[in-house]
Amino acid sequence: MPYLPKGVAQPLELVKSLSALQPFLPPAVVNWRYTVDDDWSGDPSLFLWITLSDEAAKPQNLAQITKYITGIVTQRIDPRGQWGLIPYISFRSQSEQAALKEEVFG
Amino acid sequence: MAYHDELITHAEFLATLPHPPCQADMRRAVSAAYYALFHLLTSEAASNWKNINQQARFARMFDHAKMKNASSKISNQKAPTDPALVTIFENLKLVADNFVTLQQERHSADYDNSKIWSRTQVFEAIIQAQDAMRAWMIIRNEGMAQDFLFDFNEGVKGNRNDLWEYSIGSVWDGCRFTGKPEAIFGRASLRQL
Repeated sequence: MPYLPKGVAQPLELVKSLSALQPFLPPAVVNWRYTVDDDWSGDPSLFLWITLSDEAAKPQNLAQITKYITGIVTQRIDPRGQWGLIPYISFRSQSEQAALKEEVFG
Repeated sequence: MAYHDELITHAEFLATLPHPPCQADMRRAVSAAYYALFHLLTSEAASNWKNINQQARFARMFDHAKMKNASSKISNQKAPTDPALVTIFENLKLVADNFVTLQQERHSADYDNSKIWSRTQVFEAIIQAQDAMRAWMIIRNEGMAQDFLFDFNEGVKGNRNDLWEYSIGSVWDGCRFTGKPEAIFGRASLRQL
């Protein structure tokens, strides 16, 4: 029998857990969305699409803020351990998203 | 300059080309960032091969999916209880986590034309590759790190490359214990690889 990760089997619980993340995200996060999908090799995954303020997305600030946010997601959600999902987090700046208008980033 | 260092420098060059960012440059930068880490790890694994003249060929035998499995195995592990191993594990986990992430991004950059890459996303990919490469250099001689390299040979159950998997695993054993793979398989088997 194929293994169904908790994040796929219990989507409402996952949504609840992700919603609880909001208060812990820094103000540099302008917007964030997520999708649950398979990655390139077919493993169930959690894709997080995060729009940062332009200031936070500057090259000199980027590493620090992305590590901080990744740490929060890992600690609060634990996608691999709690939900059986591989986390993939993408970051872009507010002005980039304003120009590119990619749907997944919202 | 080592090839993996050239690749990460190339990724930085592409990512910082003047505005506006061209999708081809952005995608090639993401791909180069992944391959910088990929080639660092495969060259490290190949350096365990006793015959120096065959190391470059040996480095070509690694499979992306198997390397992902080895990395996921580390990513899913809990930190060791021995305090002496915690820092090593954290560095290895960083390498493994970033390898999995970069592999997905590289796949998307190379094959998914529906996705648009921004410069920030590309910078983030380069940062992840650089962080992983730095972390690797700290732990490269540790037993845990060497076990990680060895696990690149572990196959996916039911994978179409079962024969390949058997051969490479055995050749690696030959490397470790005899250094003479031809003596075990003969040249015909090696050619199948």
